[in-house]
Amino acid sequence: MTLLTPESTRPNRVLPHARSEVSRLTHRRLYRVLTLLLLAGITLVSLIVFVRSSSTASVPAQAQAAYERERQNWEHQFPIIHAQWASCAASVPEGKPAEPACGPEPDIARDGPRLEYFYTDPRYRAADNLRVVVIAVTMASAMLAFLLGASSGGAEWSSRSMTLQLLWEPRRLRLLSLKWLALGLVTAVTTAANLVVGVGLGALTASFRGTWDGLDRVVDSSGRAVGALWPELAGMAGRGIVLVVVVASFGYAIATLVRNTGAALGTAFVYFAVVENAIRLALMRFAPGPYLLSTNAVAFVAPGGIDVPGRLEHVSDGQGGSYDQFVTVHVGNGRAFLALLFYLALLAVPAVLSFTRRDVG
Amino acid sequence: MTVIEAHDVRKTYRRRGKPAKAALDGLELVVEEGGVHGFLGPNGSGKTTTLRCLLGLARPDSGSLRLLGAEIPGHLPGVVGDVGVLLESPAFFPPFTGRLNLRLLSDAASLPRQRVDEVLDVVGLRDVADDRVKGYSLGMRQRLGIAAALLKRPRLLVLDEPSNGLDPAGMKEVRDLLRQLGDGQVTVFLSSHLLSEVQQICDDVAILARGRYIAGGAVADVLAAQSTGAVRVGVADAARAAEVLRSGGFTVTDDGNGLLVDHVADGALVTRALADHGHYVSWLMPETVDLEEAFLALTEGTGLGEERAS
Repeated sequence: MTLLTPESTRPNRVLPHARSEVSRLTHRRLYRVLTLLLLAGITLVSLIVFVRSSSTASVPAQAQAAYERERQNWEHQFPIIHAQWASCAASVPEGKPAEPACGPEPDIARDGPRLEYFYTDPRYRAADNLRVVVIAVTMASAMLAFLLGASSGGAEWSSRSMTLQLLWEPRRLRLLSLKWLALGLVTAVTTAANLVVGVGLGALTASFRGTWDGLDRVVDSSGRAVGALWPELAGMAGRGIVLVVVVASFGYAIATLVRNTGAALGTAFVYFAVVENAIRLALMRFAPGPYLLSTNAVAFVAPGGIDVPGRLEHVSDGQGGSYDQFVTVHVGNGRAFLALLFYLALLAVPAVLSFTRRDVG
Repeated sequence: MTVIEAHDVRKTYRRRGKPAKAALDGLELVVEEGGVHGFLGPNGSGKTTTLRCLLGLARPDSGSLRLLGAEIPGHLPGVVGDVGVLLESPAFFPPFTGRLNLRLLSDAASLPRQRVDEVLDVVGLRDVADDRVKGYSLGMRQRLGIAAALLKRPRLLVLDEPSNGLDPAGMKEVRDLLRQLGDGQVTVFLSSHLLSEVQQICDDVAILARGRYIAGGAVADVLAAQSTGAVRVGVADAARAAEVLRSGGFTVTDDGNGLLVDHVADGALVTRALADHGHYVSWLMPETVDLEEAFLALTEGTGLGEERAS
């Protein structure tokens, strides 16, 4: 029997071991079920959107008539509205801006009614909808990645298979790093595939039941132009993949700390359902919004970041009085990414220390 | 060459709300290369902690450990490829098949894949290799654990209760396998509660109590050290024969199963003394001590008992 003859085995090499960790993760039923569910969800939603979209943009006569009526009404009232604004502006002391006290100067074209107010364009607009697809797929992938990260960490502790693996690779930091790397690779590739499917189905819908108009000028939530669609989508998708990897790492770090899947999921639930809301309420005066995990997660993926209410400040009305107003804070992609990394480090560092130093049962 | 060395190893477990417990209290242990070595001790004596410290799963508070000549834990990665381990109940990922569990280990260590089938054959799990581990019986899991330990073709095989959960036939198979491995080039270090098993297959034993090495050596030597040198003698007239022996300076007890004669250096002295007085011995048996009795005598008073968990 050849087994009677010892054969010196070389210490684990990095690449085969990393491949084995990827294989360990992708063979898990949870991973396969979650991936299939997400793909099925993306396909189902895309199908519903496809069916409900229309390739023609003809405006119903009733909507057109209502729009015309409202436009005429607006044009009729505009001189009065503008005169009121001018009167207000005239009362502002010379040299001071009128806008804080009177608002922006009314504009007949900008502020008037628009045709789209009176009907919904049934066409699938790639310029708008594909961005929604990227955000939706990213957020769904992030939730499932957290579950996968927490579960892959917790299950290995509860089944004690981690102990067995440490008998094969006693360099704990290396073992943990390889597992983390495998989790990052698997979640990144899976999210990229989900995004390709989601955007691909959206593109099909735009081609057959919608429009590609407006690809060259994409605006963010506050109306700022942020660039053309495809580069913007690529940026969002890239940031989305990074976000999913970070979220999976959050799950893995918590599970490594508490060595249990349920406790890791519970921790996440309590944080998002209770802690964040409690912080928002308790620290309202200090405007914690820009520092919260969920805010930064959204701000990281959204093109150009997002504006969130900041501190409450006294603002002069220009007439000797003042009023309270939330100062808007812009959370850009870079700042959000740094915040996410900071929060991840807060969990990952103790997780690594715990994994490398604690006795294993 | 020594494969395992432990010098003055101490390990204390701190427990919340309870006094700290010294699991290892200056342990000294040396295991030479080759053969099958038994590792015995009552529950809580520190056997598993010793194995954990040797395998890098727990850090000793002080002392030095060496495995295959390498200092532990610092140089463990350099020798871990030569050490096959089955530690307590095997810990496989239950939703995976037996084969996949082994394949993931062998892939991580860049071992040839046919090795998985080889070890599955050896432990008799080939037919159920593609079933999920969660459906395995305790005995099947134990066999899979032995398969995993053999996967590396180790120089040193460390086994903690390998017969746990096995049926009698399975236990015999494992014993034969371990003996075969020990007779080859593999050193087997076997921690077990089955003293008869240890006595059957081990060349020597080390006995622990309260985290310390208390006795050890070749099995025959350990048994001899615990033997009283008594013999049991069958004669037709036990009462008279007893008187003869007593008058000859022997300590004799008649318990109805022949005469028990203590501290006999040579059985021939007894037969000659009796024959000289016309009593002829119909049978004479040395009173042997088995490993269980020796173990109980050595560990008596350690106060932990066999039934308590390690």
